[in-house]
Amino acid sequence: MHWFANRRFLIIALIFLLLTWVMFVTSRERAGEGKVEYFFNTAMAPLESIFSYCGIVIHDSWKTVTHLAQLKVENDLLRKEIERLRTRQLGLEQLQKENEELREAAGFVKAQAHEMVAAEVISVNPSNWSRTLTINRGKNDGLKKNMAVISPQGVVGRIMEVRDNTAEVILLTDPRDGNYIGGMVKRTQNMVIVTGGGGYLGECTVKPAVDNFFTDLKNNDIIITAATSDLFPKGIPIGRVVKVSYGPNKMVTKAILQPMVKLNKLHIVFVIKEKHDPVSSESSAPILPGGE
Amino acid sequence: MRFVILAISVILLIAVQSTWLAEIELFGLVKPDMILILVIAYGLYHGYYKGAFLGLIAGLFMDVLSGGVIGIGALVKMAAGFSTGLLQKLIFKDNLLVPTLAVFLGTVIFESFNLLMHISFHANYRFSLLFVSAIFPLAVYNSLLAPILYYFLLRMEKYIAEREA
Repeated sequence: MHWFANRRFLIIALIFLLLTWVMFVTSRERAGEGKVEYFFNTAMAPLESIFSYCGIVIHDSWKTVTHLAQLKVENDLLRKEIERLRTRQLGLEQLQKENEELREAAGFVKAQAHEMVAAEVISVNPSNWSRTLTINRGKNDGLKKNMAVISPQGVVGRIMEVRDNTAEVILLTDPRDGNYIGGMVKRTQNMVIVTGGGGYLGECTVKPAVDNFFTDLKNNDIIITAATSDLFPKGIPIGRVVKVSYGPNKMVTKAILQPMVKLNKLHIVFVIKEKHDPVSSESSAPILPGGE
Repeated sequence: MRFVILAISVILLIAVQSTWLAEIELFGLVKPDMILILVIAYGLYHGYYKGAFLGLIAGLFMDVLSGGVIGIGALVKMAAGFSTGLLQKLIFKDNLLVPTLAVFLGTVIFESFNLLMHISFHANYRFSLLFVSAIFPLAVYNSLLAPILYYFLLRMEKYIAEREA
């Protein structure tokens, strides 16, 4: 009896009984939740919502951070890959361009009756006032001074200096004294002399070979090499007349010529070692008239 | 040391000018004159004596490579180095605007001189036409490249000064 005299034991026993009763009561099917449960659940809901929201934000943020790190690595890899492919593509485009140039060159050589040697342009004259270029063929390839240099589009110039393995080509646009080519107007067959310079950089001057004026010369007339030329085979396009100049008697005394060949974009040229002009045809070979 | 670096620089600049820069058509057919830029910049930094000497040697080297009348380039570049060298004590060396302006004016003056010299040796050029179509674009082109070259010149001088100290 003395146990019940101790209040602590009494309270613990009562709580135990109460809990047991609650367990029994709540273990049964109920019509609805109790008021106490309802109160606490309702009170906790907003707080839980906030916590839940924060949890989602933190989780999502963490996920984003880790994902971003992954994306960055992936991005770096893709960038490197793009760079590699771009470089490769550029290389392929360059190769394709070279291939086309070589194919064209091979076709050009085959179509010509002349004995020719193909040469690659190594460099151009560093000065703005001289128009020459250096090619990778020289004495060892049988090149000699004053040999004609052409491209599939037309006249380039002539050999000015020959070294063992390189040669200097003076372009038809070089303005120095003595640099001229005999030609004729394709439309009228009038004989002309083409000298370098006289207009903008990269242009030539055309003057009549016989008289002091042209009887008939118009803009866009094509000038070709004449049969009288010692160096060049006949019929090779030299350039197109872009501006005619009138003298005091209102006659055309000279004209400015734009070369057919883009002389600053040359990579491969052909040196004519020996020319064989065909007797029957007007033009020696199917030389492509640039710009026509 | 300085001589070796300058010699290598001149050779490399001419090689670049004859190959890569010749392919770029920024201002028509005009190529920038890297040697003229170097000579003007060097003259501004070191004075008329060294400027003229570099102009003479580099111009002569370029003339030999160009295959035209030898001496025109040497004379023009020596004059460029000499006259810009006279400004050495009047200018602030570290300001990149100074070489830009000097190269612009120097190109207009000395390339005109260069062109007139070529014409006097019977080159078929028309000065009035080319002054507008070639010399002016060349001056713009050169002055755009001048700060870059001048910056490298300053770096080279600093490097040499550190090595010699």
